[in-house]
Amino acid sequence: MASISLKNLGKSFNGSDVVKDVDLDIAEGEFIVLVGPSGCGKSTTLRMLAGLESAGSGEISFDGTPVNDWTPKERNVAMVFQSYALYPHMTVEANMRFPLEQSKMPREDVAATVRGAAEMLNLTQLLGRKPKTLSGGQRQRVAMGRAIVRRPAVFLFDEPLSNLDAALRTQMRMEIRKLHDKLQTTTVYVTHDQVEAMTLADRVVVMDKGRVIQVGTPMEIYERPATRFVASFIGSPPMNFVPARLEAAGNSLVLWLHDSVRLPVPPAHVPRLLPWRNRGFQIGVRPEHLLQQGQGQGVVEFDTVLCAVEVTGSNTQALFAIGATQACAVWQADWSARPGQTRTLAMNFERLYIVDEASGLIDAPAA
Amino acid sequence: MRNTRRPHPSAWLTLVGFYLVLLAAVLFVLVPFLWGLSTSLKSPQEVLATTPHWIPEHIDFGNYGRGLLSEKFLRFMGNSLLAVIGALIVSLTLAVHAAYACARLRFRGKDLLLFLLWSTIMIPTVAIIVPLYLLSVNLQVYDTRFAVIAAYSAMLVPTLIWLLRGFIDSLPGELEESALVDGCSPVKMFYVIVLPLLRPGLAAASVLVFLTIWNDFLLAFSLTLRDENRLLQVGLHSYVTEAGIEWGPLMAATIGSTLPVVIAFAFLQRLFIQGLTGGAVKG
Amino acid sequence: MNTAMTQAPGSTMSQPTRSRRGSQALRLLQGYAFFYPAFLLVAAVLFVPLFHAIWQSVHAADYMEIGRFVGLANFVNLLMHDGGLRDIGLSIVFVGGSVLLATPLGVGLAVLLNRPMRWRAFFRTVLVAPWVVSQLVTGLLWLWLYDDRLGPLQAMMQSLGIRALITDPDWAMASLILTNVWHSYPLVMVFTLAALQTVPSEVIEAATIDGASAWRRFWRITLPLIRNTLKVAVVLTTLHTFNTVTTILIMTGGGPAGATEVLALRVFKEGFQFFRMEVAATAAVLILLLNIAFSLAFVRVLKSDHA
Repeated sequence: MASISLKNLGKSFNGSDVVKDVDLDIAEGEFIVLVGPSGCGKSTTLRMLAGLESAGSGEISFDGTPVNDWTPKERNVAMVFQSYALYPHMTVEANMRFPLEQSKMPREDVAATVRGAAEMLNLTQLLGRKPKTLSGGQRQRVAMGRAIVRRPAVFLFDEPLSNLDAALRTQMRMEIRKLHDKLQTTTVYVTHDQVEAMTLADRVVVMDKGRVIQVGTPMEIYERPATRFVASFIGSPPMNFVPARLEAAGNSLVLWLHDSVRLPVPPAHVPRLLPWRNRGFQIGVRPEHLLQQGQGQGVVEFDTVLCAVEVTGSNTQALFAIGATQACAVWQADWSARPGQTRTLAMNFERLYIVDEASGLIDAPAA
Repeated sequence: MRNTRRPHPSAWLTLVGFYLVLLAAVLFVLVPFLWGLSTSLKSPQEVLATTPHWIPEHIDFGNYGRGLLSEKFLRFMGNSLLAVIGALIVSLTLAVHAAYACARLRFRGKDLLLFLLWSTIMIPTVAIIVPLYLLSVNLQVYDTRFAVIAAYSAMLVPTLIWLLRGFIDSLPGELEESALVDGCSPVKMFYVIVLPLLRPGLAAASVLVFLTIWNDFLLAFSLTLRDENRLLQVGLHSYVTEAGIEWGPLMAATIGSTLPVVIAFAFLQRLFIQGLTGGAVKG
Repeated sequence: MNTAMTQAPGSTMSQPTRSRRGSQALRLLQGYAFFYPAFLLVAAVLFVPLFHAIWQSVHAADYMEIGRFVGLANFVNLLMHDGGLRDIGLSIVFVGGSVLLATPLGVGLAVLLNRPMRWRAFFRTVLVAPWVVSQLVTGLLWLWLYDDRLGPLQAMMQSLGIRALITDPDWAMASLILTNVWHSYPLVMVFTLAALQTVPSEVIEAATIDGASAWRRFWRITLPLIRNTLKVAVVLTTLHTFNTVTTILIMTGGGPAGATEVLALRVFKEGFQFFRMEVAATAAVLILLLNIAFSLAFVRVLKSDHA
């Protein structure tokens, strides 16, 4: 395994910056996920790591040695592509053998290594088949098998699960994590799916428009998003954002949500909100934190009318009105909920995020 | 990392190598042209110079006057052009109808007839030119424009059918299906719906017809006799056999008749390649 | 426009005057009408002369008329006593040399042209150009280039001790082959280029990551994936070269001393220079049979790959 270091990495195509000022240090054996919307530069960053694209500016180092000019072979990386990129004219076994044929490994060792990898991924039955006779999930595993036979220093995954259906995706996700736990190889994984990011990563790198917005563990990213972008990208359903203002009321403050929901601020939380009295801000609150009446402390209840209700069986997702806008709340399955009903929800001030309107930066509640 | 490897100036070197190879190939292609061009611009004395020069001492366009623009040669080119036009009308009309029939219609014996049609592609032109010549003499159409156009059309039709059928097959079926639902008769369907959509196919086919006839020697040679009927390549050939070789005017005629085709090719590459890869089957 | 539209809205769409059988008959008629004219023309111009040639090949010739039946005597004569085998041998040399040189050239250039590069369009245009030039012009240009008195290669020829190229029995065939390679490699190149575009770039990238060198990537990954198209291109080039007359006619006319008299040229000369109709017909049938045999063999080879 190798540690990876990216310093000021940048790349532009046709004059526009696809990747800009990326700084990242990845420890040996770490599982890093690059996540972000399409076009955020994550795939390009990965390809630069692989050596498939040259770095426009900045430095890429493996174990402290700059590798900008090194070919993919010299970097000893393995990559799993979104389309798997299996060699269509070769059997599964030949596909997995191919990377080893470039090295000087003796034939028996090659055969043994391939067999070992096949066993690890449940491919032993499929060794004689050709890719076009395999299902999506099987092809995925062959692609991974081809990657692990070389025992590379770094695994690179480029949206490997995008072409699979939901059930298979969940299963493969766990297999990938299991594999990493077993092999402990440094892994860089690219996806646009935040669920994959949250479940697989040791650390998550959120990217947007070519830049790194935030780096942190899944918990950090979820609990303390740095910007509005990160907060709305991670977590499903996404965080609610509501324009708000503060009003003095005697010694304390009142929080108005969109000028229609009035929430007296609990005394413990006044110091935190006070600095925002004269600044433009929005309130961010996750749907799962809009507790139903009667749960939690530090909460302020308010009544609202439900606009739309979806009960999935495991939970209830409802849109409710705040003034002219709507926000989303999620709670346990409640088959009696209907649009038009009035419900009492609760704002938990310990789960309240303040978004600076100008900068998009978030003031997260204390841990 | 494991090994300390030096960076890659060799990447830059391979790039230069690529360009050199390509340039060498370009040179290989251009050398005959350049030599012919250079000759066409030389005076008769310079052509006969014992030490050949690539660049003429004095540029003399006289060869073009005598070779390319002579009345005889212009007539050759005109004949070819007329043959092209005649063959375009005949062969495209026949082929596009037949292609539609192959692709969309049923008729008795279709499989057998199609097999026979495709099998003609295996017939090399040289194998039939002698009996064709005899046939044209017997039918008293030897050395006529009619025979030339008929022969070229027949030779081109199988390939054109194959080419146009490919284009028809690639038309989305929903267009014709919705026309059928609208009550359109099959005949009307062909003329009103399918044909207008075949413009790109017909364009590629036209290029193939033009190129084949413009470049053809064998068929034209077997079917024409007098100078006034001769087509381009036969005319060029006659320059060589008749009066010893005057290379200056000959090169002028050669370059002059080929250059427009090459330039048209440069601008219409895709069409040419479409037509030629279709026509490559005949060869 | 169409009858359905002139009916009152709400009425049925179908043309009420035709029965179903009638419209089927119309379609059938349309099929005949559309197909037969083309077929008849082809039959008249290609099949009739073909049968004539076959008929003539088993009869003696009485100048332009067909004489008495002689069975296979013409074939035996041509092959055994009249240089027929030699002509076929020369054809094989000509085709073999041309294809063996043109194929790697075409494939190699296609591989180079497949990468994005500056002036790619320019290179592509120029490198495909020889295909567009007529056989006669090709022959003329190269004939003049090869000229041992006035051509530009004479200096090089002298230093190599070569007396003449196209007029020398030792060098004529090689010179012809070079000319033919010039004319026919673009076909291979264009086909290969088209095939290369169908190879997914990620597969090549995967091979790069797997550590394969450029040569290995080409040999183990790219080539197998374009193999079928390549086969088609080689076969087409082979047939085309085998049937080539004009270039050889204008450059050597079969000489010097029969060193370049390929079978295709033989057909032409017997018919239009010596007027020996039965020999011409026999040679024509021979070349036709060889074409058919080779095409059938090719179909078999192509099919076996799709197992």
